[in-house]
Amino acid sequence: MVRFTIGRILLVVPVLLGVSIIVFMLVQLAPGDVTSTLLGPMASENAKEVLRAEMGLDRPLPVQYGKWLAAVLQGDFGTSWVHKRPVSEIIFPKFVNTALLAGSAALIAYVLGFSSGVFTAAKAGTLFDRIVTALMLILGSIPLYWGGLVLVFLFALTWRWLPATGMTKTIGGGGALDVLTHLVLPAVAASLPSAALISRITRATMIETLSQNYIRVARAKGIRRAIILRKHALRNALPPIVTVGGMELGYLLGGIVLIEVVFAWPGLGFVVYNAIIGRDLPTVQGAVLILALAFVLINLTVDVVNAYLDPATRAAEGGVDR
Amino acid sequence: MTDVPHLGRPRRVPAFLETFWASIVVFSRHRVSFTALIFLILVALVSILAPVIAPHDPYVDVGWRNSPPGEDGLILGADGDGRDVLSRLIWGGRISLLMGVVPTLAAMLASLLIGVVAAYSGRWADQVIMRVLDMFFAFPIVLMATVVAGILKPGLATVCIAIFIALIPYISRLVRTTTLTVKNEPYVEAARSAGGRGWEILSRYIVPNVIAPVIVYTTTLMGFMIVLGSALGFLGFGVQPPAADWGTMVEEGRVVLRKAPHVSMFPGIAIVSVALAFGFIGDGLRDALDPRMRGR
Repeated sequence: MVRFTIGRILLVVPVLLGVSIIVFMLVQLAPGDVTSTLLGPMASENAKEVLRAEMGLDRPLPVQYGKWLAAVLQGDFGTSWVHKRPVSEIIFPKFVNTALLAGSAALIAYVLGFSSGVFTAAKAGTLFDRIVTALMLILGSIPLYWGGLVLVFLFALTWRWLPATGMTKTIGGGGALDVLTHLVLPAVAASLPSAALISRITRATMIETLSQNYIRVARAKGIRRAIILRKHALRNALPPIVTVGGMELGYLLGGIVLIEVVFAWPGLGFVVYNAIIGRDLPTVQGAVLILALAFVLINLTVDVVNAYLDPATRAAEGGVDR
Repeated sequence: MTDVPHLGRPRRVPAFLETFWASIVVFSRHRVSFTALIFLILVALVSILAPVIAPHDPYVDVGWRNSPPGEDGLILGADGDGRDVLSRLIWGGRISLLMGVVPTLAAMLASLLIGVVAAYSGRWADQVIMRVLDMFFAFPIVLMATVVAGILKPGLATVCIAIFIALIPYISRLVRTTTLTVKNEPYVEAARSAGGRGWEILSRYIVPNVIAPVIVYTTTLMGFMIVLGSALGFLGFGVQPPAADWGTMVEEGRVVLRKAPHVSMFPGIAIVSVALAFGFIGDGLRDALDPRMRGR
C-alpha cells in the first residue's frame, strides 16, 4: 500500500513537468506581439526591441521556459501586466475563495447525488425512481452558467431571498453569515451537473450490487432491508462511486470558471477570465498552473483513497495504465 | 415470368450493409432514442433552412425592447435590442450545432489515428503518446477549452479549435484501450496466421471493431460539446455580435434578466434539449452497435 502510494506520487512529477510546458506553450498561442500589447500601438520599434530584450523574449523558447519554470518553482509567477503587481500576490488569496466554493459545491453534489442515487436504487422501478432519475438526467444536461442564471432569476431577482453576485456585501459585509448567504447560489449551481452524474452512477452501481447473490442470501436470512442496504450493499458499491466522485471534483474545478463569472465570485476562475479579457498573460499562466496543480493533486488523492477502499486496484500495483 | 429457384439467401448484399441494417432495426426499436433522433433532425433542418423559416431578420429590431413572448406577434418575444428571439434562436442553432458536431467529429478522426497508432505500433511510440496525453489530462476539460479559446482571437474557428484540442486526449484514450483489446482477439490472430498483411489486418479487422464504441462515445460527447461550445460563446470567445449562438444569446439575456427572463431562458432550454437528445441517441447507438444486443 505504501509502495503504491509512493509510486503514484512519483508518477505525478513528470505529469506536472508536462503541465508546466503546456501552460507555458498555451500563452505562446496568443496572437499579436506582446510588446505592442504592453507599450500600446504607438510605441516605436526601438522601444519594443528594448523591452523584448529586457523580458528575455529575444531568447529561444526553451531558454524562456527554463527561466520561467525556475522562477515559478521559487514561487515567482512574474508580474501582472495589468495590475503591475506580482502575480502570486493576486492569485494566492483568490485560491482560498475558489477552494471554498469548489469544496461547498462538491459537498452538495455528493450529498445530493449519493442520497438520491441510493434512494432511487432502493425503490428502482417505482414512480419516485422514474421522476428523480428523469430530473437528474435533465440536470446533467444543463449548462452550468445557465443553471446559475436560472437560480439568480428565481432566488435573487424574483423572491429576493439570496444575493445574486459577489462574495460579501459591499457595505458592512464580511461576516461568516454574509459569506454563507453569498455562497449558497453559486455552490448549488456548480454542484448540479456533478450531483446528476454521481446520482446516476450511484443508482446503477447500487442496483447491480443489490442483484448479487450475497444480497439474496442476506435477504433469505431475514436481515432487515435497511441493514442490507447500509451494511452489505453500500460498502461494496462504494469504490466506483468514489472514483467518479473524485473525477467530478476535478470537473467542478473546471466549471468553476463559468460559475465564478456568472456570480462575480472573486476566485481563481474569475481571475483567469478577467486576465484573458485584459490580455494579462502572466496572470493567466499563473492561475491556470495553480488550477491544474490542484486538479492533479485531487486525482492523486482519489487514486490513493480508492486503492485503500478497493483491494482490486491495490493488487494492480503502480496503476500506470488504467 | 420465369420462376427463379430459391437457393438460400442471396449473397449479393455485402456483409457490412447487413450489419448496418441490423443496427438500424435495433436503433429504431429504441423509442426514446428514435424520438430524440427525429427531434435532432428537425432541429438541424430548421437551422439549415433558417433563411427561409425564420420569421424575421435576426439582426434588426422588429418589436418593443424586451417585449414578452406572444406580444408584437413575436412568439418568443423580443430581446434587449428589440430583435426577434425566435429568429435569433433559429439562426443561432446553426452555429451551436456546428460547434458541437464539427470539432467533435474532427477530434474523433484525429483520435482514431493517434489511438490506433499508439496501440498498434508497440511500446516506444505508445509510451510517448500516452505520456503526452497524460499531460493534457492534467487539465479539466472546461478549463482547457476556456483558456485555448480565450487566448486565441475570438470567433467560431477558435471555439472549434478549442473543443478539438480539449477532446483529443479523451477519445484517443478510448481508441487505444479498445484497439489493445481487439488486437488480441482470436480473429485477428487467425487473419495474421492466414498471411494477412499489417495494413490489411488494420483496415479490415481492427478499425471496424474499434469504431463502434468510439462512435457511441463521440455521439454522447457531441451533446456535452454543444454545452461547452455555448459556454465559450457565453464567455464571449465565440462568434461576435450581431451574430449569436445559443450561449451568446444567454449572455445577452443576462443583462435584462430581471425585465425579460425569456431572452436567456429560451436559448438555455434549446441547449438542454439538444444536449439531452444527443445523450439519448448515444444510448440507442450503444445498444444498436453492440452485436450482443441484437435479436433481443
